Amino acid sequence: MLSSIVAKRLVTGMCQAAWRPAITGLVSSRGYRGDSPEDTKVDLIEIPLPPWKENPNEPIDIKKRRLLYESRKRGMLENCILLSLFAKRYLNTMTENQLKQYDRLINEPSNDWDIYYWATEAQPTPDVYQGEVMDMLKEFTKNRNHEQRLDAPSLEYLEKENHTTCSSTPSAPLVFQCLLESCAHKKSVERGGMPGFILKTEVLDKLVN
Amino acid sequence: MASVRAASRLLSKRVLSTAKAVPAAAVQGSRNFHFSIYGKKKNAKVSDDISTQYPVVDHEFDAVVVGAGGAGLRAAFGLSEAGFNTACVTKLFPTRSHTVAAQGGINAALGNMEEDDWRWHFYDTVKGSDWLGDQDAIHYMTEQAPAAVVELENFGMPFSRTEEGKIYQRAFGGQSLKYGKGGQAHRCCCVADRTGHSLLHTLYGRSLRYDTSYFVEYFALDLLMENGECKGVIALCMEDGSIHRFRAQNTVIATGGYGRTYFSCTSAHTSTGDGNAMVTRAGLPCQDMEFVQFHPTGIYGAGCLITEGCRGEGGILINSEGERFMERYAPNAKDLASRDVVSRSMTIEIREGRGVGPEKDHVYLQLHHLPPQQLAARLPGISETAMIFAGVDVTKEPIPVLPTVHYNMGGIPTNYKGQVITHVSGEDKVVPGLYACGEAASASVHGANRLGANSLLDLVVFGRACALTIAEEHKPGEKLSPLKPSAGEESVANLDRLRFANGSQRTSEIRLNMQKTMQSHAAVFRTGSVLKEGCDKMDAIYQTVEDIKTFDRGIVWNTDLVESLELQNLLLNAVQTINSAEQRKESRGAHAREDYKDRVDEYDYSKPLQGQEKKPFDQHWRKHTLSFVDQKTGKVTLEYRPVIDSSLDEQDCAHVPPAIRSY
Repeated sequence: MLSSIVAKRLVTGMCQAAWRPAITGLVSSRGYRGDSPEDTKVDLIEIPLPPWKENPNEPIDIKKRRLLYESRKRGMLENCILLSLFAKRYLNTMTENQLKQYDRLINEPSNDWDIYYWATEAQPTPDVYQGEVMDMLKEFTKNRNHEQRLDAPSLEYLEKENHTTCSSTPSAPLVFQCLLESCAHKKSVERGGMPGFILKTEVLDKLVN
Repeated sequence: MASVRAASRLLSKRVLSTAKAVPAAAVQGSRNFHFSIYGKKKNAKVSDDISTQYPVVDHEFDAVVVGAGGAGLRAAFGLSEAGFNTACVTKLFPTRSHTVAAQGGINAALGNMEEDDWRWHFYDTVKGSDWLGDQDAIHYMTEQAPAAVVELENFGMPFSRTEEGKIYQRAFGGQSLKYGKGGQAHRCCCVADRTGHSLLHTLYGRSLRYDTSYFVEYFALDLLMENGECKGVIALCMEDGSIHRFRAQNTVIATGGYGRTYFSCTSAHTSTGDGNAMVTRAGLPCQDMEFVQFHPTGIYGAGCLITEGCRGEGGILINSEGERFMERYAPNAKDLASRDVVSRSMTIEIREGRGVGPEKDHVYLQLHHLPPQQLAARLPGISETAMIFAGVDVTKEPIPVLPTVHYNMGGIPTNYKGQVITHVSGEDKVVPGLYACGEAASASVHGANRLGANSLLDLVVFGRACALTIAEEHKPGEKLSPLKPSAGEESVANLDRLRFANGSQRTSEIRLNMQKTMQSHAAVFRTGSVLKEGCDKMDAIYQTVEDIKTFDRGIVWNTDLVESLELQNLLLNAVQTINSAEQRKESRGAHAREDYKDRVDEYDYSKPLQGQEKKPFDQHWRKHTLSFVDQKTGKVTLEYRPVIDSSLDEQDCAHVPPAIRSY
């Protein structure tokens, strides 16, 4: 029993090593605490969640579409607004490396408040999330132009951008690659759907045979 | 016309796809992989019963839970723990649920700070509900509360502790000792200021010990109903656009609130009342939708809460004439008047044309007369929030604020066991196979108003209750009753119609019209003429969804499509809310009417009851609203259901008879 606890601590300790900077960092000065005791932050260590995994084979345009959804659909209002506007400004022009960083930043931390506190610099950002994208987000959060940020942007801004991505249909080998990857990552074949991801049957037949 | 077009497109695609066969290997491959990751391989099969354009995958489970917030996770792992083969279908990754935003805490009469009794908590909750709560459900929740918290503690939830190591409990509004006579109670258990996150983390972590199959980022479209029985749900997998039918003996809805029907709302943009809308489309009622809790000061439009502590520190509310208008409404308390008074006064100022901004639809909260050091020390975070979202420097400018939706008391009517009910010829009738819990449900423990820190309690107690009820009445592995092969056809046709919709109104336009209409006609200030006008406007807006225009014709991660589906759901919630409010001709809890300022009960409880004649059911308002919507026309039909006034055990916990509510 005891040894299993020790083992669990070890494993979770390693899994959560990424969290350490946040744990030892400053105790947040925000939010109502009343006169309750000091925040122990123990749950970050005690209960392990499965580690987040990035999908290295995800085609870039699919990744962007996913990240758009995940930027707009957050657990809390503040991040819904911040990240949706941030995505509008930057998502389409992000490099592959930036996309990777952004994916990790918005999907790995389990607490949306942490992301908010890092972006607003109320708490120090852990090293793993530090980088170009985090710097962009911090800068964006400062709202230097004093804009009113009332809502997530209407999606229609994508309509124009979509027309441009439409024209650059992936070449055949890329299509094939997408298909194989989609098989490996629980995707069924979608035909005639999304612009830029059109799987024409003829092309498919040629590739499969 | 639109539907004809949609049908012909489906047909033509059907022909096309049979003519050019899909490479079997590819499709087969994806199927296999899919179920080795998610769900039970042996149970899933692909069919083209309802569409060939959209691959349809059928799954069989003992139970399916829709939503993975606090309530959904508690129900899902309770079911898995009891041996049920359980699916949890959710449009968000579990830790992205809105439960994460709850910072307050969870009420339970543990008695760690002073002597406490769950019966006092029971009394407070009944009183808080303004006697619209069902007392059997309130009894169940408050009696189970201490066990629920201890259970969470045992699961590893790291509650803040007292020096002796007991769970620390803090004071919260509306909580008293000794049936309102013993002063403030300390009943709220918390994990610093991230109780919601900790709860999610604990429940999700715990559920992973069991074999729950999570279907993450799947958007539930509709219930699979047959002969008044729920047989599962149909959902869209956003990652690949496939359609999934989850057949199950038991379906639990835990989809949360519908705050997004309003323009200014504190909930995440994902609180779109999907479960309520699914139930409505299934021809079942929603209950007490007119009861919406507002917080007086959210940042205009954005909804971010500006704590009431701001006014405590000396912040003042200002109208377009620069007047400190609270002096007129509450000469003594001024800006420190109660929430309801402040919200109403703000709304009256706006309605009378003294609002600020281009649309004169909000007021200002001024802090810049306070010393900057005091702002920084006593109201940390406020200046950042104001700058980030309103672009306002609080040391120089006022913050634009508006009464903001905070919680929805109404939802899917259930009994205290979590079973969804209808009311037929004077009797509550259970809908077989259907359960609901959390903010989506109306058990009804919150009645006309919710007390702080009772909502997280509601989640865990009724999430657990759903699992217990199912375990009591069913066994794992029961044979599923047959389902029509065409079940869910309409949902797919609707999805396809939206995906290719080419009308003249954008999803975002219709959504904003709805939100602004609800905000100006069905928010804090409610009066007959304003509500009536709002109902007519909402009727017209409901129709415009026929003329919707979407732009994304893709299927993989189609956010445009998902937001259009959410809009349909929001509209169903909105029309029920405003019509129920228009009809309820009294003021009770969060529903305050200018033209009917009094609560109308079966007796006049402000006077001695002796000699009074009990008013008949149709002449008083101590009853639940049940609303139905004709999906085609948006027409709302209302019925009423009596409030349950007896507790589960009158010997142990006598019910609380109605009284005039004052604090």
